[in-house]
Amino acid sequence: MPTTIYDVARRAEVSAATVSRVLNGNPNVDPDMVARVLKAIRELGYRPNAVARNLRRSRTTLWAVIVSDVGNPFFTTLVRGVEDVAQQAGFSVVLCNTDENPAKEETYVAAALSQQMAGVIISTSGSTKAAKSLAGSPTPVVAIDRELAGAGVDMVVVDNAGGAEAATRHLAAAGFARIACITGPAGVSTAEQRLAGYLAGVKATGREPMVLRSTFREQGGFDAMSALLDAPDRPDAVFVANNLMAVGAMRCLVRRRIAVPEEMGLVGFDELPWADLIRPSLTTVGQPAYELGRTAARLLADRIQSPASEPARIVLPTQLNVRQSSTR
Amino acid sequence: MTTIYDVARHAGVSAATVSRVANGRATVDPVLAERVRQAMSELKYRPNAVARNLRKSRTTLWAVIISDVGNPFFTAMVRGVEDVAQQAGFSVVLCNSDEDPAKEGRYVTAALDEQMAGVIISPSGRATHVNRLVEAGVPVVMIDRQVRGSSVDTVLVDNEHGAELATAHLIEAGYERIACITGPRRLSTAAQRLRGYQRALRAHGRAVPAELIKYADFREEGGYAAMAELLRESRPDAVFATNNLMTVGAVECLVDQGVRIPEEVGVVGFDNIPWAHLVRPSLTTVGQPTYDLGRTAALLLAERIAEPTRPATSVTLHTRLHVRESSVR
Repeated sequence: MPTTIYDVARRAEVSAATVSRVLNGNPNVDPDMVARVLKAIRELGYRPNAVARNLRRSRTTLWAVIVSDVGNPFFTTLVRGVEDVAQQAGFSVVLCNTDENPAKEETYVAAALSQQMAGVIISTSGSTKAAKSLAGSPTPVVAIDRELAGAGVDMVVVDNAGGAEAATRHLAAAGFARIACITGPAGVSTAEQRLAGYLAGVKATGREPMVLRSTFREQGGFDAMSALLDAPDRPDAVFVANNLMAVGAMRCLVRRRIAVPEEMGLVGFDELPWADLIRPSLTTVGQPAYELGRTAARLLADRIQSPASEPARIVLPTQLNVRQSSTR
Repeated sequence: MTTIYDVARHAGVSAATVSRVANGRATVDPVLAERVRQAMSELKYRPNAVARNLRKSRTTLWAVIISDVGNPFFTAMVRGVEDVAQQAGFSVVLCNSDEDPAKEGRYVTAALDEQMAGVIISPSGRATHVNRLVEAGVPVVMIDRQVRGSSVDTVLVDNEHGAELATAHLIEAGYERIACITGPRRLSTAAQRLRGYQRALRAHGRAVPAELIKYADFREEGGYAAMAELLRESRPDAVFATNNLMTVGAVECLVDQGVRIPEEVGVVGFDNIPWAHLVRPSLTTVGQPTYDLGRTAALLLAERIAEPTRPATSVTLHTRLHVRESSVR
């Protein structure tokens, strides 16, 4: 007797209606359940009947690239890298913006799994639930930029700690005495690693750490800079752990008429488009964003070909681009 | 059982037309549509269950097909789409056609295959792919750009007026030889902004010399190259660039060649430019209500999904001139 939808439902411990919703690509299913259903389908060798099969082909030629902020040029450059490899490999890329919101991330992960997309590349907003359902699904996954906790998947990141330490040592060498750090949200690997690199840098150069956390957004950088300026022991330099927060910090400094770099040195992490048109031009820790996307796409294409191989972890280097904002 | 072919024969139309009427498309001639409906009722025709299921099993995804993911205009617009989509219970996936009609075609195919609930598209030039969606009964809204030969809901800005404001502002600031760097000829935004520039010159009794008009690619490199050519060939004292990335490219060229802005060359760009306020000199721009553009398109799409047969509407939003340092001497 062929496997039925009820066998799948029993095995996955969900209702038959839920199995049907997953098969029909309804994204309003809890990602955990989607993963369980897809796993049960695979284990039981379940084949939907002809009508259902016609409704949904088994796998699409789409890759979902799930990023945390589509307004950040770092991510859009990265996506261009993914697209160029995907196209050669015969896949199309759809981009999902989670807006640094774990709930949105769960929705998109559920959609990608239930649509049976051919692969997922994700820079996580920090949803452990989404990470778990990706790890439990048969869909090939590559984590990019940010590590995916406990997922055991292919990963492409940059040397965040190394880049942050180089930026901090550069500020110290330029003669700044009190170097603060504005980093991103707790639990996001890039924010933690850049903070760790900064802490190593201040320690190595005999300075006191001064740390604020913010949102990785422009307004977050503005607010954090504002708080640093009002602090009793105002810093004379700041390392800002992403590009949009650096723009916000700069906007705050312009607004408060603080001279950069004379009164406040500034180094940002990530390149900024037309950074060279900004006055003073901005010193940055550059990341190979396009290359990051290309590498992740190659890993995904390989993973689709050979699902059983060991997960790879690739770390790309960063580069300090010294411009006007940090040299006095 | 009555089939679609019986209805077609009875009404004297093709089966495809019957299908379009059954799916509630507005693109069918009203006379034909009436004939089909009458035939359906006379023959007691019911669309079959599989076809109905096919339509019901639409996902809750919207595809937003944009022409350049590297352009902050489009990503800001998408934020507006997303906020409305979420409230209406849809999720948005973004597709980058990269100004390439072939890529656009692949994404349209994907949207059809995946049975996406709706599509918002900034078309890369021709109506072909938009019409494929329309014919398949997928709700579609065009955004930012128009294409000829397609009647769907559309959200635009008053491109011509914005360009006219920009050019008139440069004239009033005392510039004499005002150049225009516009986008690809096939795109409505490029054509309309060029028209606004020409209109303002004529309104002020100026000639419109062909050597001061350059067509480029709406990208940074194109803006740079066009500015370099203008400086070499016809030495303008001001330039109006018709999108944000080309403005950045043109300014980079002027900086590289040591041309002082706004003293030697005045600059006005179209579109908002992120961190334009940190660029020195700060850039005068024609701002578009980018977020509202996305929001409006999403509202139209949600309405279209709820009511597939309503007549197509076209919404035009206003632009505003933001005068900053680059155009005032």
